[in-house]
Amino acid sequence: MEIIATCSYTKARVGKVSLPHQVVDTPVFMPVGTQGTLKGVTPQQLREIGIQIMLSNTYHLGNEPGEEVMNEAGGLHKFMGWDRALLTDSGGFQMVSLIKLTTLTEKGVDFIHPKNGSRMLLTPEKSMAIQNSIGADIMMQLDDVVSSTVTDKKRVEEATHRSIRWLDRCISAHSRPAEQYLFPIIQGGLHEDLRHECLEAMTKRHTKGFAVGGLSGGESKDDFWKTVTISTDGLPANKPRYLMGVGYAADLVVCTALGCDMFDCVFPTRTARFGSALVPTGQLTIKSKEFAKDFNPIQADCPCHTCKTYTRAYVHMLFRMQHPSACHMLTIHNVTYQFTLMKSMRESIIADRFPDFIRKTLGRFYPTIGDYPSWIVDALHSVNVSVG
Amino acid sequence: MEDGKTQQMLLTFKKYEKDLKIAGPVCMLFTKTGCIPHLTQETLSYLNEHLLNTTTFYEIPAPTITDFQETLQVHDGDCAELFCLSHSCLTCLLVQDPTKKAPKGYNTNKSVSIWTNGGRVNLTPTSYMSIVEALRPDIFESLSDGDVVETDSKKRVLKSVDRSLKFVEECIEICKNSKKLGNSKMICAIQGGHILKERKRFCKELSVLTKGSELVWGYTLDAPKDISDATKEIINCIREELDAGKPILVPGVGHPLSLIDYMKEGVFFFDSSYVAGLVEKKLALTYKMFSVDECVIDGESVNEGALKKFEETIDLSDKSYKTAFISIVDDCSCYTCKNHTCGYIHHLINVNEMLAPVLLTIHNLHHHLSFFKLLRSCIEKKVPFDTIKATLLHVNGKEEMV
Repeated sequence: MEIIATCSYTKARVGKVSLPHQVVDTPVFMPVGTQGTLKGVTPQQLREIGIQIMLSNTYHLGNEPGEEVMNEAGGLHKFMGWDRALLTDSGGFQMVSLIKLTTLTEKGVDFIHPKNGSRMLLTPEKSMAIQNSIGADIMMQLDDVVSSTVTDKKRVEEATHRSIRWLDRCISAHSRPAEQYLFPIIQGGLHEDLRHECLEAMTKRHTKGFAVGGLSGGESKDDFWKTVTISTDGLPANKPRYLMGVGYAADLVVCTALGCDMFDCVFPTRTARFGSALVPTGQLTIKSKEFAKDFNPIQADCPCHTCKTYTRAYVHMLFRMQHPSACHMLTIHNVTYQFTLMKSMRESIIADRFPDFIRKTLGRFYPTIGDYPSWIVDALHSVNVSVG
Repeated sequence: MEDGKTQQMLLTFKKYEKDLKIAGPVCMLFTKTGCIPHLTQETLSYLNEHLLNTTTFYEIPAPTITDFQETLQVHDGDCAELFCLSHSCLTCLLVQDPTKKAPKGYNTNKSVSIWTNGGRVNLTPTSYMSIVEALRPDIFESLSDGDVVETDSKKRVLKSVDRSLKFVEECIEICKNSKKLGNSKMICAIQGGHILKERKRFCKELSVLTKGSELVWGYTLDAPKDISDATKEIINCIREELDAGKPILVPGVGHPLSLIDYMKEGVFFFDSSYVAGLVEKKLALTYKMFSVDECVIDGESVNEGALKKFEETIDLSDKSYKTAFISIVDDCSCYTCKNHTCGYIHHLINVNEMLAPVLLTIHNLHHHLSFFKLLRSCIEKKVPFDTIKATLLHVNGKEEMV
């Protein structure tokens, strides 16, 4: 990773991460294409927007089309026709979201597929094998993910230690270290001591980057930002820091200020399919009747194809018709919105005017001083930016 | 005999004082609410420019726009603007959705029923024409009672003819008095069911109704997907009793062999709803095309065997495509074939991903419109239709023809 610029107020930095398929500008938001596709959108459209890296999900791809087919296809890049960077998660997050259907041991995680009842034992070795066949530029270790809302510290401690052991198993099993970069995932729940323990252990392993995990799972925002900043403090400066599961604009701005470089979240693309457009002032529920007579574009200054071509009223009509193209139109807009946000962020950091950018951007979400959530005020205060 | 029918394969339309000329055969793009299912204008633009006429027709079924009264009331402009379509396109409003079979038995002497997302809507000529006025399409279908099948009684058929003629008359009257429909043209749905005599009666009386009127631009016929002798007689009847130079639209016809059959009868205005139907069934068009120069096969030698063996599609949901990492059609230049494989599309279909119908639509439209382009060049070079058909079968044959 090459650091292009650092903010002289906050912990933000702009970088270039050289990956086998693509050099990626950070901070970056990675849209999520779970099953080897960003729902309804072609790779060409993503390229047009400027997307350099996207995410896909090991658990889903491991089921369909499966490891064998992925191998025959020559990897996910070839399979889905995407020649830029890819990142795969380990399949571990499903542990938290499908907890009723899993059995956890030191060996690995036993999954039962919710739809067809099929069994899969996901071990660190198996996760590496599937991710190796997928061939993403960045792969994630299999970690013992514990929800941040779990209060039993013993369980969190167990999970932290296991994650470290599983990291080593992942590093051993990883068969393509030159072509794929394995990232450890810093765990430790909301416990500062466990976080430090994990940071110390994991940073000893020589990897090209790190992820901060175990957050965005329902914990309080106060705990959230404090844990993020503890984590970034303990990570080396010259390697990318990937904060998993973060995608709301305000969160992206604050966490960049706290020193994170990479983000992913299903929110922008999911909310698009449900008829919600992301705009600088928040969200527009295009499906709602108030837009039936609005012949403006979704966002006046947005460069995306949807805003240049269609009116709110038209997208509204298509949503009410359940026309699939409506989802595609909003997905293109929301992905562009996120991309433009990150691009502007990078530009302001390079110009060393990030605090102004923060105030201007957040100011549109929180027009009245009193609107600012206290966690944002506190988090930004910790990095020398005053808002609210 | 053929020359007389093919002579007029030219559509002309006057828009903004310009005389637009579109060489037939023409494939109108089927839409729902002005948007091709699964595509946006961005993905539509992947289609090579030469496949879309300089003037593109967009087909809008009334059931996909009727629900939006509050938008229609406020919008001041034509429907091309409402649907965010470019200025260089022509819009055509149809009463029914050609991809859906309307439930039987709901039309009355005063109204025709259509089914929108909100449910059944009764359209009288007045209420229908108010929708037409709000939309101002370039072309609109006349309101008519087409709810007739072969098993219906003669009485029912007679009723549909009488009602439809009355509806046409009322639509024309409303149009005359409308200040907003000065530039819109009408296509008349030809009724009469399976009784040729009734078809004749309809056409004769329609001719009287529309004599001297510049409003009627063409006709539309609810024709079967595969042409029959009865259909040929009806088409002849339209030609004899009405204006032989005006185009006849046959929504839903799209099978390559059917297209040739209909063109042989002088019909050259079609829509792409056939493609939409294929995409719903996860089918991809694969029949081979040919160049005009390859058309040397003797037209007389079309054999039944080759007809039966003709396969126009493959089913990408079939498991046999799981590891087929080849394009749908080997030398196809469409976005889907240049960038994606059958194996990938099969996966997308298998896991219900929205990109599957997007990629299928792009390929199928490309293939379908390429065939239209091929047909246009064959017709230009005056290749007989039987020869075109024989060549198509030969090129797609599995056995060598002597």
